[in-house]
Amino acid sequence: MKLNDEVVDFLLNGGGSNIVLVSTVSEFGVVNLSPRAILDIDRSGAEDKIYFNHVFPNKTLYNLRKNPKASISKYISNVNGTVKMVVITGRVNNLTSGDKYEELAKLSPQRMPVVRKGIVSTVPKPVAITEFIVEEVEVYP
Amino acid sequence: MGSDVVLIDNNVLELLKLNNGIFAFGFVRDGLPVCYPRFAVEVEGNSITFIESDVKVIESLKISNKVAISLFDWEGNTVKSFQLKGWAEVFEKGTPYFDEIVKKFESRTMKPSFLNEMANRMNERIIIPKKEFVVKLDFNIKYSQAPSAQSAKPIIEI
Repeated sequence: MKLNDEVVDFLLNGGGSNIVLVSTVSEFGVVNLSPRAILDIDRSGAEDKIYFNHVFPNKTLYNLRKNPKASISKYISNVNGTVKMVVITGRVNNLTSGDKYEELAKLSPQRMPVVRKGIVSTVPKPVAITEFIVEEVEVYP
Repeated sequence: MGSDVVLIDNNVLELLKLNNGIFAFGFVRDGLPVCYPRFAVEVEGNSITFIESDVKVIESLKISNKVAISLFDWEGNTVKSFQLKGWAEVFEKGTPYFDEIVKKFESRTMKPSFLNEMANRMNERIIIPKKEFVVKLDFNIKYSQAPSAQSAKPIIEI
């Protein structure tokens, strides 16, 4: 499925950041929510693909290897309770090598800086990069 | 660990306040993990309660009551970020707890008190379109989600 320009802009810039919440579920049905910075959105093919990385082994990656279904959510709310929200469901591939992996791994320090005591640290090479293939999009309002 | 362990501490409440009382609520719908924002109406012990309008959410929780919430700073300015996991209990209209929670929301006697200030300046029809169900989330595990190698490990587990 294709994302429209408004959704892409919201994912990359809504709330002043490229942070989204990735929802996964374990083989035991336990939900896991993890904030992630979007590395890139590939809109060149028949299906749009959203990429985010895993700097170290984690629960999100573990779940995605067991169950490649996930969702990406983002919302922003203001003081009067107005919420703008996007929920995208899809399936994933986890990349650990190859041209696409290498290309996106180079983007990690720019797209996902780790700040410690005000200093931007070097981001280690990701253990994996997830390619999230968009299947359904809900937009509110 | 005993049940007197505090999972929802001041750090969690600070993030809830920063997010206008709204948290990210994750559950499984039709086999897929999804996440939607919800407004906290009561924070008591290791539980957060909210008023739900969507019957489809309730139907999903009746199939699987395993839930998670996430609280963090969307702008990425705050290092602190937490995920709480546990289970959901649904209360329908006519039950004492449903009535108690709706009354607390309508009379602005919610806890913590900053929720009342937020509800006063919010449009109720947006944050809670209909008062059909009350959902209480009880948590038994908390994760730090700060960007570090430790972030995938539970920091407190009951």
